[in-house]
Formats: sequence, C-alpha cells, structure tokens
Amino acid sequence: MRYLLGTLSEEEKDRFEEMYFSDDAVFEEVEIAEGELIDRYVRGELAKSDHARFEAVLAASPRLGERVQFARVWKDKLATSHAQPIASVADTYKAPQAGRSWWSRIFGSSAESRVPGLALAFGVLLVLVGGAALFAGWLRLREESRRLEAQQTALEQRQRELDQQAANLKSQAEQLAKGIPPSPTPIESPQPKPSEEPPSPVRATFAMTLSAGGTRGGGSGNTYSVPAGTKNVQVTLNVTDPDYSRYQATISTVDRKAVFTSAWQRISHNVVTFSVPANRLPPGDYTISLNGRTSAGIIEPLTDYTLHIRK
Amino acid sequence: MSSADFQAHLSHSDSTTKNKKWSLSQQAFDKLLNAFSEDRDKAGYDYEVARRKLLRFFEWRVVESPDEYVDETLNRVARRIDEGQRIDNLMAYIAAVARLVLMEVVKARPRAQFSLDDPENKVQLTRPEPVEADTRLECLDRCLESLPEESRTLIIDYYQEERRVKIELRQELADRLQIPLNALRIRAHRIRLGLEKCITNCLQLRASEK
Repeated sequence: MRYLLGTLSEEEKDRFEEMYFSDDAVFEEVEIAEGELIDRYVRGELAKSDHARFEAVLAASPRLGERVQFARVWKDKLATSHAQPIASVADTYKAPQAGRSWWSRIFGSSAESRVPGLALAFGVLLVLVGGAALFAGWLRLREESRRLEAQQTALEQRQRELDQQAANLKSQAEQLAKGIPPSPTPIESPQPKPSEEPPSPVRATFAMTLSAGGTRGGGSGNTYSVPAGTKNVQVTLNVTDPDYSRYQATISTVDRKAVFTSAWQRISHNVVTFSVPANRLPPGDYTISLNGRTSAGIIEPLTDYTLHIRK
Repeated sequence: MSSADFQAHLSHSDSTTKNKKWSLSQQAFDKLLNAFSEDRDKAGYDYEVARRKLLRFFEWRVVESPDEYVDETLNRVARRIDEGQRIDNLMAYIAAVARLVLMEVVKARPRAQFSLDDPENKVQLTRPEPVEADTRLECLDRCLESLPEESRTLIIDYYQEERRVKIELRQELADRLQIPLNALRIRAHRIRLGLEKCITNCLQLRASEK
C-alpha cells in the first residue's frame, strides 16, 4: 500500500519493484492492494494527501479509471443488499427463478420494483432490531430483578441476625441484673441456637450485575454486600462493545493485584457472566477489566468496571 | 500469442517507435516469446503477466500514457534479443529496461509536474468514457449471474459489511471454506478481476450494439 501511495523512498521502491517483477506472488499482492486502495478511495477513506496522490495516478491511467468505476457500482450494489443477512443472500442463489436475475428478484431491476422490496427488507430489519432490543432489555430487567432479590434476602438475613443480637443482649442484661454471669457468646457474631429458630437461608451463589462507570463507596452503582456464607459470586457485565468473538475479565484490587481472571467466553445478549469464589472478594474496592479478542486472535482492552464490596 | 495479438501490439507500439530505425518484426516478436518459454501457451501467459507488471510499474510511477512505455520497454527487449543478446533472467532484464525508460520519461517531462500540491500542476483526470449507470449495473448483474454459484457467493460475502464487522465476517468465511484468510483474499481478488474483465467486455459489446 505504501508503494502504491508513493510514500516509499526511491531505494525502497526499486527493491520492491525488483521483488514483484521476479515473484508473481508478490505481484499478486500488489494487485490485491491496488483493489483495496481503490475501495478505500471510493468510500472516501483515504487521507487528504493519499487521496491527492491517488488522483494523480488515476489521471494518467484509463485502466485504473475503469477499476474505480467498477468499485463504485460494486459499492452501491452491496449497499442496497447491506441489510440482508449473508445466509439469506446465499439462500437466494439456491432458489433460482426463471426469467429474472437473482438480484432483480430481491430488489427489482427498476426503481419502481425496487421500492417494495426495499420497504419489505427495511420492515423485516426493524422487527429484528426491535425484537433484539426488547429481548436485551428483558434480560437486563431479569438480571436486575435477580440482583434485587439477592439483596433483599441478604437484608432479611441481616435483620434476623440483628434481632438475635438484640435478644441476646436483652438476655445478658437480664442475667446481669439477676447476678448470673453472661454467656461467653461474642456479641459481634451471635450463633443462633438451631433448636430455637430455623437456620438462616445460606445462598450458595450471590449474583451481581455491573455496568461500566458504576460508582464506588456508598453510591447506588456497583456496590454490593455479599451475604455471609456465600460460596460463589456470579458477576454479570453489561458489554457495550459486542463485536468481539471472545471476552475475558480480570478482577484486580486497588493496588492492581489480580485476584481472579475468567476464562475466554462468548458474549450472550450483550452480557458476559462468570462465577468468582466469594472468598476472593473480601470487602474493598475492585476494578474489573474486560478484554475482547477478535476472531483473528487480536486482544484489545475494552471496558473497566468498578466494584465496591462492603461488609 | 496469435498473429492478431502481434498486430495489435505492433500497431500500438508504432507511435512510440516510429522515429527509430528498428521496428518490431514478427520474427523479433517470436524470439521474444521464445525467450519467455519454448511452450507457446506458457510464453503467451508470461508475456501477458510481464505486460501487466510493466503497466502497473509505469502507472504507479505516475507516467502519462503508461501503455506506450510498456510497449517501448518490450520493444527494446525484443530488439536486444533479436540482435543476439543472451539474457539469463528475462524478467529482471525487462525490469532494468523499464527503469531506463522511466528515467528518460522523468528527464523529459517538466519538473513542476511532480508537485502534486501545486494546483496549477494538477493533472486533468482521465475518466473513462461516460457510461450510463444503468448499463454498468446491468452488466454487473449479468456478469454476476455468469459466475459459478460458489464464486458468486464468495465475492458477495467477502465484500459484505464495513470495517471490524467485515474483518470478522471474512474470518468466518475463511473458516467455513477451511482456508487461511490470505488464501480467501487472493481467491476474492481473482474473482473480482474476472468480474471487472467481464464488465469491460459487456460494456464494449453494448457500445458496439448502439
């Protein structure tokens, strides 16, 4: 591409030309790069200087002019089929109808016949997009509902603990008043007698849903209290960039010590969910860094989520 | 390489060689082809590849009327072969002659022409003959239909979507075809070249029908 845009030095140009004159594979790469450059030119993606340079080359070459014309028509053609999923495009090849081209059958060959086809395609697209948005919204509400339920359970448990604590204190006060030494049970962690009341429900998993930019400390954002006895914390991250094939999250403390790294996983309905052993998340502040991996294997940092776990 | 091809080559190169004493004969042209390969078909193919390489060489060095200099280069090579010069690496020799021709062109043209930033030196764009957009579209439809189904699916899928989504889709397409991404790129390029050639032929046919 740099050769075609004339940004190589004379020496580099000479060397490169020697290569493509002697090696057909290198020359084919030049031809491919030429096609890609033309595509970028017709899509207006070239920098100003590159654009000017390309136009100078174009001015001297009818062959390139013809290729540019092709790229324009091709771009327009693809733009009209842009909304159509690939699978359905492929399917249309397999069901030919006599007399009309496959393209005409989808969109019509004249402006008049193209309008209903496009309207239908647009309608279908709207339904699909709307449906997907509603489903994503429903999923978010469901996750939020689960989170609130978990919080409510935790609050109820805490209330029971406090009631028990108050009862113990009252009992100790009465015993002191009667001159009986108090029981050695620590006030901070009362142990309710199993025979006196049913065991408090211990949740094996506590769920939380995080969005990017949640507030720390006492704010109502990504702040949670993990109930005692929780074995695992199920973390759900709302993902704003769903274009990657796999995602991985790393939880770090404020001093950047990683306490947990999830496996690479696919996104589902714009959320990534993974389970963390609760003992890895003692009260404190955390950062959850989400990385995305393209199907080509390129890993890019995406979003940081803040999380505050309080007592 | 047929005799008709030779005549076409000869008539095109006539303008650039008319002031020189030596002119390309059928015999010299045959010797040139023979230098590419003793197999006539392979020689014809290699000759066409050499022309394509030369054309791009002059085009991307911003030389006006690059076709003329392609012919000039090949004529000089043919002349040396006709005169009995032994050439071990023909392609390297052609490249060297092309560089000499380019140097002559650069020396001959006004220096100011190289400054692309100067609006006065901007070259008037050589646009292809205006063709009605509908005609071009019809030709594209026709040429797409003439492609084998597999090639048609591949080229449409290959050019779907934009930027990152396009990269992902291409990877999926390569995975589906069980070929590396670069092999897919080359395959799509070859189909595209065929499509472009088909459209050019179609437009020429339409023009001749008028």
